[in-house]
Amino acid sequence: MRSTDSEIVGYLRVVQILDSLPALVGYVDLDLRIVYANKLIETWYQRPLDELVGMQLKTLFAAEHYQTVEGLLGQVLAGKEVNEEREIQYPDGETRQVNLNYIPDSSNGQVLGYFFLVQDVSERNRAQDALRAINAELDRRILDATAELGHRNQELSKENRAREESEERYRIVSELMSDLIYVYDVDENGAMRLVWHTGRLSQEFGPGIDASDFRFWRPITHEDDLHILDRRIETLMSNKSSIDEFRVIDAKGNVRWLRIYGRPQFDRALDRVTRIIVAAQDITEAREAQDALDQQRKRLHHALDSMSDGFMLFDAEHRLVEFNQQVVEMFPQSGQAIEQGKTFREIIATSVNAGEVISDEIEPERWIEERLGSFPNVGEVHDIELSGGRWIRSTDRETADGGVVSIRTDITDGKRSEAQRQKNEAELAHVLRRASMGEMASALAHELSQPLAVIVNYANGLLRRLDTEQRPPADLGTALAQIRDAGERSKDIISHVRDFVSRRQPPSQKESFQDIVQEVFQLLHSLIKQHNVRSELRFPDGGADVLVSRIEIEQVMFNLLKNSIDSFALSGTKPPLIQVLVQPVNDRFYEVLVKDNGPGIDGSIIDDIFKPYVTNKLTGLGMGLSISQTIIEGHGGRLHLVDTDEPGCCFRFTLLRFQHD
Amino acid sequence: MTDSPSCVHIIDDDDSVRASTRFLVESVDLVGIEYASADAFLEAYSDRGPGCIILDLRMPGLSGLEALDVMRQRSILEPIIIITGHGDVPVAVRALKQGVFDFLEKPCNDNILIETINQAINFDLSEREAREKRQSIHTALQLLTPREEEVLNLLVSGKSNKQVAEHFSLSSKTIERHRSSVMRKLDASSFAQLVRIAALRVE
Repeated sequence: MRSTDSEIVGYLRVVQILDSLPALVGYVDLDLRIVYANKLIETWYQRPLDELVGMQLKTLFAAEHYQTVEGLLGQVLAGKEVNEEREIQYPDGETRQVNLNYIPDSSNGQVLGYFFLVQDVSERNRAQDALRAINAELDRRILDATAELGHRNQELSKENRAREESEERYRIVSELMSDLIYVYDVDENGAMRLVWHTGRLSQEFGPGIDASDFRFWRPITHEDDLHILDRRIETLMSNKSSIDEFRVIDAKGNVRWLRIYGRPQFDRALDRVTRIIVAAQDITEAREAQDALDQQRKRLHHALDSMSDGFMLFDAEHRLVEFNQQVVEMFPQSGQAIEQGKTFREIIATSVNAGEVISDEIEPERWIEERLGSFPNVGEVHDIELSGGRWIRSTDRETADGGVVSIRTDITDGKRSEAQRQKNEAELAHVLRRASMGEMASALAHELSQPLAVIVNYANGLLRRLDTEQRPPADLGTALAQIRDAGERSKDIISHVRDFVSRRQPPSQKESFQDIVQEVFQLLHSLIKQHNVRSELRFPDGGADVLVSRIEIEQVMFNLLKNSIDSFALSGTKPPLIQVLVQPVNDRFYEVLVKDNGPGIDGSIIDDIFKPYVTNKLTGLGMGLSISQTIIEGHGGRLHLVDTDEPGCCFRFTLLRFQHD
Repeated sequence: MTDSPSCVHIIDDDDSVRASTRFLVESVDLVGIEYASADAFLEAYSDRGPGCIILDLRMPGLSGLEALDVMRQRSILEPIIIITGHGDVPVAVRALKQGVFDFLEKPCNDNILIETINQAINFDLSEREAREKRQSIHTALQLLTPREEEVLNLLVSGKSNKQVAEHFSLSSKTIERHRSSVMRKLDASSFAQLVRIAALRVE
């Protein structure tokens, strides 16, 4: 049989199209021999087409491969179309997820062979897997964030459901996904004419498609994407392949995304593009899935951004995965440098180097190392002082996969009110000091009466001698010296009291704790005498230099010692004894014990003694211990009652040693 | 008043107050002796003739009031002037009940202090004189025979010579002799004086 030219041209055209397909296409006869296959089979089976044609499948396929498809072959030869997915290892070494489409070739009810269309769907499946993996990853992060955000739980799980629904839709539609293939001829004027297509165009996209017009997408293309079509044609005409994505409105009025691969054929003789082969893929669901994913991510960010706290999620390598806008704004000087993929170290180093973090006179490098050492600080908080007097609190939590959720809270206001509170307490302490001096007024009067009596006695003694002897007595000098000394003593007593009452908040500095204790004993001198209190002071050799605010620690000692003395007054314990024992605990601290053998503290108030207005004294405000504890805590220590077997009470606190270096 | 200066015992734990008090009292020709505590005073005390004691009530060790008790037990009889820097009424009342001479608040006016000291010393002087007199009467009474003592008792109870003679079944003459002997031994110049002396004896 002689073929006409047009038949030959037609055949060649089909061959060309088939060869350009990204799928195996061919025909197998009843003996399971390959009658025809497109070019792609050479790649997959690593044999020239000449060899493959006429070869039996059993010979061509590896045993495993054959077993996989044997049942399907039986089906198709029995006249039943096969459309199945299988995973097959091909001789080119690739393992592909393939969609096997066997279509029986039958005539008068008798099967003569079958057509096959084998599509590599690995990519698609991989994309789906990847999508699933991404979703799973996102799920995990959302779970982390959910746990962290607590109150946003509901919102997020709602979003989870929406996402699941969109996934379900995607799954259904992706099964319907199919490729379209069509071919244009291009004439010498550049006009294009659709010469062939796979015929499912109008079926898919409805009667709006007029296949006779080469610009058949145009009427249904989303108007925002028309420019893509124009650019695409330009590209193809200049003999370049193109891949474009654009939206069309299908017959049902749905927006669908298409991805179009175009490949021009260039005729050297004519020096122009003569043909364009196009494969179109409906990627609507993939796009929608991607959009949903993006949307999801946006919502997550929105949720994170609407938190008042700064949020950072680090992976197990401490690289930043997610963060919100707040954390950026918290660090006005260095926040802009926070970005995904940066390590925690890089982020804090930027802050330190920008001078934004106040590193407390430590070398920046050392500060960074110490900060890294305490990251993640699970279960504790880390307060960081920023320039401009702001304070940021950092709280970390580990995620199930070894990552870290790090929350940053601006606690400046809290710190400010803390500072205000301290100021108020200092004021209160000042008022209390005046009050305690008031309580001591009569004792002080006695204290002062001593030197005054001395002065008066000497002065009168002198006057009397002068009256009787009419000349300076021999011991005039001694008497005057005594008068002067007593005057000095009065002045000292008065200035002690004045200092104690009026001094305010000097900064912490090196002080001798021994001096402080002795000064307080001086102040309490007359009370101590009145109650015949014996005192025992024990200090380490070489004294105890401490880093304290003197007036505050004096106040603490005053309160503790006065309490002890007052307790003697209540009980009449004999003989009253007060001990102040000081010894080093370690390189950094001294321990101070203030003990007495008085009646001790009433069991009914023992748990409340550090609360304000709790007292077992007949007079007094009950503020002494409360204030004392605040002061000691302000010095980084703690004041507490020590349980001893001995009678009386024993208070213990620690003081920072002054470091001699 | 005697020729040798009177003595002021000054008990105060404050060295300079004590010294100044001494300086003051010595400006009026008294002798001051210092003690740093009640214990020290009890340890070192000896009777130096007429004088007084100045005691600061607020002192460590033996408290002021306890010291008063001990002084009385030890028959330290100089009048005691309590001085305190702090008006403490209950303590003052107790001190006065324990026979303290006076109670002054510190710082005290020197005129008042000196005057009080002088009063106390005068009081001590008369007390000492009275004690001496009592002592001499006591000694004289020891010289009486039992019969003379009996006669004296009856006489000062208001009986006449005759009644006393009847009581003993003796002659009035004998009783008259006893009576002259008693008056001579007790250095009484009249019967009225004899009665006064006999009254002192009873104390």
